Amino acid sequence: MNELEFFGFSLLGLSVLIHIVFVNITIGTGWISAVSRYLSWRRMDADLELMSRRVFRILVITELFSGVWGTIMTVILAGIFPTLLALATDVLFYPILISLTSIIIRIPSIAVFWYTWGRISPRTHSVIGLVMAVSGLGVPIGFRYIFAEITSPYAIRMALEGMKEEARLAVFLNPTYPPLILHTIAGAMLVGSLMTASYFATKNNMNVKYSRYGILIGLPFVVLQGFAGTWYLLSLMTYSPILFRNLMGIGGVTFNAGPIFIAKVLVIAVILFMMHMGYRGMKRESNMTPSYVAHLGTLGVVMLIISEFLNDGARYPYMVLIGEDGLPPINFMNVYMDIPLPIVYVILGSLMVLTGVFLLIFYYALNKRYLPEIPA
Amino acid sequence: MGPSDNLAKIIPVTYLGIYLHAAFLSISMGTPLVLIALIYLWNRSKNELYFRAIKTLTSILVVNFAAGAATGTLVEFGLVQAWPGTIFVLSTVGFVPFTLELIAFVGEIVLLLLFIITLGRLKPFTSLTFMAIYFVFAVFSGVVITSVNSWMNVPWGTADLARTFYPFLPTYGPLLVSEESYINLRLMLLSSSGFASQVIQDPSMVREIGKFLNDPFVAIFNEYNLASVLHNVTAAIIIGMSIILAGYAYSYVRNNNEDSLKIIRAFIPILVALLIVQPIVFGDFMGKMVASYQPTKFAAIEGLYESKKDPLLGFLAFNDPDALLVGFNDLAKRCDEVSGFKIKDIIPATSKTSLDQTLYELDIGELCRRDLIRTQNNTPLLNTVYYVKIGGGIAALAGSVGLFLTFYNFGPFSKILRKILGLLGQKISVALLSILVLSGSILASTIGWFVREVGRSPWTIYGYLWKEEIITAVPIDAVIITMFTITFLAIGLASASAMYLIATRPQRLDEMLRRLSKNE
Repeated sequence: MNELEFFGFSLLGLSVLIHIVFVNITIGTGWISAVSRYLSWRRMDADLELMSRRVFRILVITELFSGVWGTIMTVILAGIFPTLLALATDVLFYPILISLTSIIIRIPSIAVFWYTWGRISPRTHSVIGLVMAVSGLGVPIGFRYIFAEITSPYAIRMALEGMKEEARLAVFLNPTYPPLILHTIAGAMLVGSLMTASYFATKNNMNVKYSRYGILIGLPFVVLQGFAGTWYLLSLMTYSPILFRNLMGIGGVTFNAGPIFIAKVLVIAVILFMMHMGYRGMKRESNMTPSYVAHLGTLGVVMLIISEFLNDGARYPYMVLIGEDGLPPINFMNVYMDIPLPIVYVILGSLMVLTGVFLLIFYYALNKRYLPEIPA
Repeated sequence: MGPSDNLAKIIPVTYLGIYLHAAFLSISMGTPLVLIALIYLWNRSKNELYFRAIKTLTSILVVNFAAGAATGTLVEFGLVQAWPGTIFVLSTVGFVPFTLELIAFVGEIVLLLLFIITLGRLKPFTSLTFMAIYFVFAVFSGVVITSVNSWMNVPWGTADLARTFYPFLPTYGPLLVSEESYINLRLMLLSSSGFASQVIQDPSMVREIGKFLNDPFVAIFNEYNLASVLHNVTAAIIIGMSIILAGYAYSYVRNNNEDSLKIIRAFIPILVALLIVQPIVFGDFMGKMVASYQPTKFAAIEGLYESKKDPLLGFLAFNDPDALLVGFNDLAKRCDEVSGFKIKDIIPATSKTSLDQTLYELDIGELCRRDLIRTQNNTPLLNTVYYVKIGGGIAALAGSVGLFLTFYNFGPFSKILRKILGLLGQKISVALLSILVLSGSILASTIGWFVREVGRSPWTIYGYLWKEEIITAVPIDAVIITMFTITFLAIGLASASAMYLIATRPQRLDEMLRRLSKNE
């Protein structure tokens, strides 16, 4: 990889990582908020409704920022990797359409869900919540096809052989997709539950019951993660041997990600242990949340970053893996102009500063309760 | 299924998406000015009425911002998905504007959040400052996005290259693109399947196009851009403010709520000022740019089948009452000048393997005439709607001046107007004038955008690439179009309903919920 190639590859990777963190939090907490809202209506349980509103605050603040980083990714793709984007919008036309439709429904439904609370019937409101939750899942359901295709080109290979029409539908048959999407969905739900458990274990938002709910929701998803992760790994062994070897750190690696993979397994083990201990602790003492539960959210984010880095970065130095070979980023890079790097640095710096300011607001809004769950 | 099938299906839903996004972004741009006026008055008078209005408008702004972000995402993705040829624009002239827009977008979100969580907790002046910065980011976003659209209207930096095929076109600034690359792409599209998306996804063809752009900032410093920015951004602000005006007028008429009039009074001077400046300064500037750089569009909107002299139009378009207004007949004569010239006569045959060799026999004059006729076919429509647009602008201005003179005392003008309107009664007067402002401004702006887009037909990049070359090669099913149309309309309706609910219905949360929250 030359310097510019590495820069483009890293920049895209960075934006994917930041986007994935925010997006997983919003998807997971979105489901928890929507389902607790629904149950509060069915059971006439105001306590669950309050939980729904409070969890929703985590979602509402992170959602727009996840969208922003999604847009940043698109701009990077269009600006630095236009050939890849042109290929994706053609061969992966339908999966992208699924994501696109979901995004259009998702963003307004979040705002509508929040602002119609208490203004419309609980039944209609619950339906809006479920629309919001389902549309959130639609986004990765579509976009993960892109990741499946760059890991193990199934449709793209057909397109390159001249069967473009067939390829546009064959994309749905990519064998690495089912375990990948299951892994993604379980991961999002797990991160959402860990954030919930964590949030209600912090000093200003302490609520033992809600924190316990968070852990309870997360437990089945840890198990599902283990299953989906193993399935995905096995599918890589067959369909994407380079990535598999890189992850395992065995025989002819192009990038040894073995130690990072071990770190991921350890983080998951720690999460599982803390969930177990935390749940037991809260059961024994119903008015106390063990302090370490507050760190579950951070650990969830760490797990997420490592997982996504392994899935995307461990393919280095290739961008698209084709069996025992791969295409480096240079094949897809912008040749139409010299990328004005100074302006890219300035923009990247500004975005980082603004993201920092955003995180500060995020902290104040949640921990100092500047964003009230109940209007005054 | 060919490009024209896709065009017929995709264009309507693209327009729907753009207009929906435009509606939301207009509110996002108009609301900050109203909020700034209200915060100023709240700080001065300490009247709770203004604070309540600020809170309501802020909630509306948030829902609207979310809807705007969703439709904006759709328009952006729609651009690369339904019109993948634009990826070429995004990766060249659009790169700098779009990356700058990211800062604007993130800045808007950060400032909006800051404003929301600190409203009522910090001094009004601080809130006003946050809202003002938010407005600056919103305007900046409009500026950079408009610059890309402006480049597609007037491809600045291509100097005389477009004149190779269309001799009636003017020079577009200094040469800031590679002549070889420009011609290569044009020829590749003429000789291949005709879809830009198929060319720019093939690495070997991409290499044949080669380096295109020498100045990444060309879209920003396009001469046509300044006029476009001033005209478009002001139009968006006007529409946003007109919608808020109509909302409060409706509240007054329906509920007899005198407080609504106080809110209108707070921002009507800003709206009047914008409606005066828009046609007289910015509209005039825009018109002059169109006359100078888009001869086919100018001929179409003015219905110039034949060249003629018109002192008023000559003065407005070129500052010269004696100027000859060039019509389609003279534009066609320019095409005749290159009639009989083949591509091979003007462009040396290259060794590009992807080019169809029969292409070199293409008659340039014929190509020129064919595209000119396609533009001319739009003339009756463009000419008619353009003057409806002017009428809309006048109606909006008249309505806003009427409201201004009703609310503020301007000597005999106010007296006369109040006497006339007195015959109708205040409620009807406010309703009529507000409807005039809202419908007039919406009409003028929507038609204005329509003229801007259709006026450059048959090209997407004026004088360079056609619409059918930019569109997706994927055959689009009617089911997809229907699904998208329904989704668009549903989102628009849901967002508008939510904004209406926020404005009209107080939030009533369960008492138990309230108690639980306080016990925490």
